[in-house]
Amino acid sequence: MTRAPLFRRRAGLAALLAVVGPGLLAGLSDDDPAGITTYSSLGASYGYQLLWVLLLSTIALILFHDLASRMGVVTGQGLIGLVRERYGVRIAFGAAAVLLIANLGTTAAEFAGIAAGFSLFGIPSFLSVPTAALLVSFLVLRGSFHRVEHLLLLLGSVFITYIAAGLLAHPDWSAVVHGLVVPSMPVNRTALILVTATVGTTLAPWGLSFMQSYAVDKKLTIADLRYERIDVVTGAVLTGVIGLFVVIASAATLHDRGITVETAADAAIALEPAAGHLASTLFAVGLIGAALLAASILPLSTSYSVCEFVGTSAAVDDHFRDAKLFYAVFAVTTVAAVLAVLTPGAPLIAILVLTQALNAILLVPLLFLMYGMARDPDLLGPFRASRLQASMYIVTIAFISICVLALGALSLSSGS
Amino acid sequence: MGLGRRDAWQTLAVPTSDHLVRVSTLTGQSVHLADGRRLGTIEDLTIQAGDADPAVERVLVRLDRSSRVLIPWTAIHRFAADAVDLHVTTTPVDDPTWLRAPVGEPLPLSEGEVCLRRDVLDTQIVNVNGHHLVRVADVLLERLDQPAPPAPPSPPAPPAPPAPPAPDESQDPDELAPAARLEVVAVDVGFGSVVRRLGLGRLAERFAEEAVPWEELHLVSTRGNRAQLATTDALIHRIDAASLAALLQKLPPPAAGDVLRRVPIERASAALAAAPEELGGRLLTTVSEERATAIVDALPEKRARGYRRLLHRTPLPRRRFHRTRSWRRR
Repeated sequence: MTRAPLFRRRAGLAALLAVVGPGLLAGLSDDDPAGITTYSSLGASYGYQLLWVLLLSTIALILFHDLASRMGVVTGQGLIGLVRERYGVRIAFGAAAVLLIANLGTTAAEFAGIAAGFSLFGIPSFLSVPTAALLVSFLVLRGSFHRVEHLLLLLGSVFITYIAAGLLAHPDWSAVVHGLVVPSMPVNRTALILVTATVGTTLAPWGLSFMQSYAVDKKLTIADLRYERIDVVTGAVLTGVIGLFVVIASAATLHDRGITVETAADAAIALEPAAGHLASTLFAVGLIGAALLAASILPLSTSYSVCEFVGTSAAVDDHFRDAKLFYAVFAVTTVAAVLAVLTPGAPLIAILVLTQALNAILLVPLLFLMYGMARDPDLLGPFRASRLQASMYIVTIAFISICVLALGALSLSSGS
Repeated sequence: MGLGRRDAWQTLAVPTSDHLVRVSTLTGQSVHLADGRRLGTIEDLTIQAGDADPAVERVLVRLDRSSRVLIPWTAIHRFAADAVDLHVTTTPVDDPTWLRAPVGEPLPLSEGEVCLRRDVLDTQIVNVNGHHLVRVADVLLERLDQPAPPAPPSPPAPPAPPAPPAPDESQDPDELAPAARLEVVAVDVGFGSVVRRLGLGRLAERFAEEAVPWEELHLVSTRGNRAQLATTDALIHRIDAASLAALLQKLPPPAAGDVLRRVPIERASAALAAAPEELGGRLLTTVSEERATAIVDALPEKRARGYRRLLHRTPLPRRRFHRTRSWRRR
């Protein structure tokens, strides 16, 4: 019997569509309320001047999300599980514990973002937050893997609103291009905080952990790697573009009038006089969508990480009786975050600041661990990082380390 | 042996025995030569993964920051909780049975030989009967002073040095008998062992201990998986198609791909016939096209059609066809 080769026609759009997901979701969920707040502040405080930081962050995101997906596909293990296998229980415990605490705080930030977004439409937080928690829990806990993925990707499409908001702000495009390609930076503490926060919010530890675990959960194979790379690059570039338009919207409207913002909701309100009601509404809708997406991804990322450390089953398609810990961690993370947001007088700002600090502290050692595994021939075999890739990882880690160390030194000196 | 074979898989309480030792406590122990000089520290222990009752074959000793040496088990004279003594005074340079293994280079292991710390400890395993994917918290070894039972032939081990003198009445209890073995009996998958290794012994007691007998598990680490697959009498070669299909669903794709590559075509086909089509399609992309075609051809025709359709689907050729057709109309 003569027949066409089995795989020849599998290549193409269908194969790509079958693979797309991890990179898009991990990337887009980085544009969460904390990210939108940071980008808004960046634009409101410094106009287009620090756009190059966003460009560098996007490159770093591509590099490390690509590495995370490659490690997941080649080893079949999530990040924390692989850290335990490669470096032992003590280091894995340290990473998982900090990740758990930081993720709890970040999830609270996402629900705070949901509360702020809905409050712009007059919906109180005691209604919006529990409803959103029930919605994301139902989505993730009751759906099959593919249904969950499709709904999350649909949710991600809400980010188009930021691009619309940025265009409605009528930016100075020559200044945008100049800010993107000509690095310059005021030497002061606020600028350094914003630069570090921009890098830290774009390349978040929970995003790296989710990226790798989700690629494993999706059972991607080595044959899927080239399509997965397209998924990763698309997700990271979209993340960067959305961040770019948030900065542009803030820079074109708020910076010119000398308005600074504390939260993303402030930015949405402040946009209205300069860019019109539609831009403001789009910004608020984007904030709610971003928060909902991240509020779904974060508990999932936490569940993956805890289960990988403990060594039990962790998959969205697993039945509750087979993956009790997975679902328990998801529920506890969500409920704790909701309670933190709804408890009157809860030190929400302190929680958010501590969370950002923990994420920054965890990011550098986590990147070093990933670098070590990327160069390990026993783990990745022919897929280990080449010398060129390794040097790019080192440069990225060095840049982030310098930012974090400089910020730490500044904080200590101002505190003493 | 400390744990007997059972028909159905389940975890057991970790057996208690004075002769039971854990790999996590062995690694890092000092190794001394017979004249008392310190040689280095234990970094790993190797076994033949496919053996029914695998015993430690070689010990990987870290000499300094950059050098290691693989020494045969038979070179060990005294095996205590705090230190291991050899019955030789030679150095790695003098003894040809001691294989040098510089840090950062692949270990000179024989086929089927795996390292208990690198390839088993903290890696994932799957129980062949129950299809649970779990992570190894510790590896349990039992010290047996009687000779090994008759075993199927295994790859040749490096030549052993001269046997130590026979024990006498006043012998140190930690001193090994000439035929003594350190046999892997089970892996501990309980969280208590993880807690214990974190240095929280008291807290560890609150967690139930769970052991999986060695003969009922399949290693998932790259080397462990391949070593067990290479052994024809490994349990994975004897389970039925439904169990193999369930196993393929649990295994990470790289390990599942290895299984599809090593089991006979008929068994692979039977397993794929019982597996979800989407997963089966993905797994088929992990093997060569010739093998994938052979596996699909051996499927019942209805399933084979489904797999071919899945692997062929793409809108691109159809789109080109439509474009050509509309161009012709003009």
